Amino acid sequence: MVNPVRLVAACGLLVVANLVCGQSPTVSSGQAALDAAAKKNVYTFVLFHKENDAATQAMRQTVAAALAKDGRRAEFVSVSVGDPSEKPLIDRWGLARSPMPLVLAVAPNGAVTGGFPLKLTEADVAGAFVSTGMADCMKATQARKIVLLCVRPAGAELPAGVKEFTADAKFGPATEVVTIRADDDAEAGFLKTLGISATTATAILVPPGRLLGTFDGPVTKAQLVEKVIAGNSCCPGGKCGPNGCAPPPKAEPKR
Amino acid sequence: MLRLEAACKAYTRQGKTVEALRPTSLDIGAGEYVAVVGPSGSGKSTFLTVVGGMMAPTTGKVWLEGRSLYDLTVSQRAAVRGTRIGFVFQTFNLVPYLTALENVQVPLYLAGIAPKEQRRRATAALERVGLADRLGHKPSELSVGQQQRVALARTLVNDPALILADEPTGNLDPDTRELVLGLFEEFHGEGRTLVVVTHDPAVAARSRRTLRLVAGRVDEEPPGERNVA
Amino acid sequence: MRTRTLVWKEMRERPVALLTCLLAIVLGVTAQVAVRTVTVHSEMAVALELDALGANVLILPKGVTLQDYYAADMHGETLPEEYVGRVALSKLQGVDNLSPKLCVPTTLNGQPVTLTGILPKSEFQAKAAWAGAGVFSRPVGCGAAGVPTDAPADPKSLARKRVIETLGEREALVGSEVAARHGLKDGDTAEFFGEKFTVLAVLPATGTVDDARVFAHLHAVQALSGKGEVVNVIEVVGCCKQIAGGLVDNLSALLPEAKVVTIAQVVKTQQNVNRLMENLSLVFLAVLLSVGGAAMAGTFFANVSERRKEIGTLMALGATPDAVVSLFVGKALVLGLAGGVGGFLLGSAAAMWLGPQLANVAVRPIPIMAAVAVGVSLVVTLLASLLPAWRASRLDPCVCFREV
Repeated sequence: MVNPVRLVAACGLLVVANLVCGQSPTVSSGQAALDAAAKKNVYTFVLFHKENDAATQAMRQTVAAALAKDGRRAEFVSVSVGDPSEKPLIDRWGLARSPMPLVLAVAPNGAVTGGFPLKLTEADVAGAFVSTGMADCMKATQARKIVLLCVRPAGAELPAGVKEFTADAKFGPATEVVTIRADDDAEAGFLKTLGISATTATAILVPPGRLLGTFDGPVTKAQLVEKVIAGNSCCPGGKCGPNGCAPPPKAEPKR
Repeated sequence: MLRLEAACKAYTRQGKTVEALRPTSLDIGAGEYVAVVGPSGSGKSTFLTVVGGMMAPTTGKVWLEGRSLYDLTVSQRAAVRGTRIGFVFQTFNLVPYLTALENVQVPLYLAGIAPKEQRRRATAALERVGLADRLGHKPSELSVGQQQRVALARTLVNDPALILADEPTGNLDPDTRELVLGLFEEFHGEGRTLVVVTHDPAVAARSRRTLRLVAGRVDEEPPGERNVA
Repeated sequence: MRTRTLVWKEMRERPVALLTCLLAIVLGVTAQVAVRTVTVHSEMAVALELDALGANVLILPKGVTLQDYYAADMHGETLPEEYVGRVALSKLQGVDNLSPKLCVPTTLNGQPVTLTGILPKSEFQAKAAWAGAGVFSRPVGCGAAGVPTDAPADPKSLARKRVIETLGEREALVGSEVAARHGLKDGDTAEFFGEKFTVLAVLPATGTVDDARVFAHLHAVQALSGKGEVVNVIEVVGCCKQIAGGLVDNLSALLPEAKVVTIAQVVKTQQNVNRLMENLSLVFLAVLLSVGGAAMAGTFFANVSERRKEIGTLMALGATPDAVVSLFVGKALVLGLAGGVGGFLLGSAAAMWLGPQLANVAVRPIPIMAAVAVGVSLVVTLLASLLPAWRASRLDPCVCFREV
């Protein structure tokens, strides 16, 4: 037979514990899904919506079908932006005034690898799965860090220039180094998008997601610093002005 | 000095030909004082403009100092008028918006004389006719007699050899007329040739020779017969 | 005595008739100088705008017609703010710099002022990073590399760059005219809708309507004004005309309920107006100069007639036909010069007064217009004088012997 006094005391302890720990009575399902996915090292697709309207249902079906077809494991969760328990998640990503419905693809390391407002395709879902190296780079740039992506053979040391750069008081605290093995097949696609084919190379990536430059082989701190400083001009790829960043004219086909 | 060779001036109006000056041949020697008399409409003005190089005769020639006037170019003839001929008009023909001095300067300006020399010679001419104290006065600020003296100063300023006067005393009071005639005597005394168109017997009487114009025909009037009508 | 003495003295003797027909020429030249001066400055302003903003694209509510780029948000129509997210999340090249704005009238110290809510880049820039696998391979854009090691961007750069990096909810950027009128400087406090804002910076003068604005955080302005989650315009600040050109179609497809225009389209109306003004001024000038020229010719003929005795006398005194012509041509030169100079001065003054009112541009006299004005005026007066002068040179000299 249960002792009523002990029962009441246990309940009271639970209430006090909740109050002391400051936990809301309802836990965010979105955050829970993210936490679970991180533990399992899988992606999370979060569908944010205001109402369960046709567009929301269509996105839900698309994501579900795409994930089923893709075969890669991923968590999929729906989040209503009107749910107070989801406010921390919404505020973290500034989604309060974003178009809805909206799907965010989140890598296991917390980087957002895709944002799809209003509609998406199965190809969008497939494209949200990125390599580990790319996810690490995206996480760092999304945290407003400079990323020095070092491509090296297995076991090779970081270039001296990279070490000096990260040791610099000005640049170091704002920099993250991500290392990728040159022979890692999983990173081949990522390296191809960056235009890196050498086995030893260094790339500079800056927020919110720009490639400033790549250096094949060894690199010095001075080279890295020069690139970073130039990167904050109004138009890193060219001169300022309405014609400054014009793409190069296409060559006329020979007749 | 001045010679007409069958000079004639005819006008055609509405199909009719009118001879304002019939074929005329005459000689006027240097230093002569000639009066040209005749009734109104007889062609006196036409005669003056033809001999003055301002209107080409229909036929014939006009010689001035050995040059055929109307065989010269327009500019050459204008230069001759400006430097060798002096005109005196019945109504003075002063430019109303110029001062006395400026009016006298006009022939010098037209002859291309420098402004400083213009001023000197014009001032001297006005002093000669007794108007040294009226240099800055406009014609409207001068009496009739003073205006005519300005006109005479203008005539003299280029030192012409021939003076052609059209009724120079027609609008003058007796005193001024005497003054003007006195000046004409002076001009004549300086060796200039005077041809004066006039109705005034006093003027005709001062001349040494009289030509009578009637209906465009010029006749020499014998000395002693001075009929200015 | 010189020709100019004769000309000048004769003109002073008979000023009225000539001045009246000179008036027509002066008016014609004035109109032409005024219109042309305003048009030139308007074209310069348009060219400057195209130069500075040539790569910019505006996203506007559908029904808005725009004539002044800098007043793109002052029309009262609205767009949902979520369009900003749609553009930021799109994978379109060239949308690195967005500047959504909401314009509300309010008061400052009892005087009306325009409060413009502007969304700082930091609020939506992160979303540009969610472009998926292609994010690092997108071409280097404009102002997109926010290198974190550099000093924070000067908020005053809003005046030039038209985009602000960060702005607190109770911070404000004050236009130069507003600051001057209310004696505001950096660090002061200003109250809008009953809320205190800290003046983060006074913006440098730009010569645009922005000088008369106060900029605050978009969300603060929305909340205080009760307008809701809307904006009046989303300005896409680019730096490549070619990219901007491609953006129009893409943005139109992305936001079918909005109107997407480039600065070239905005200024096209002004350019059309400029062209129309110029054509009309030429017609106006032609009419006035024809009338003025005809009147002047008539006056010259009358002048020849009333001076025939004088001309005859001058011929008797030695004047050549060329000398007679020079008297009238000299007069025409003086009148032409006077008409041209007078027309230029009046026209420039009129342009300086009309420019800000008609074309919203500050106007200064254009020295070369003086030469044009004098040239046009001289041509008219000389042409008007030629026939009368020729007639004068052909006068019968006998007139000097006739009683008048």
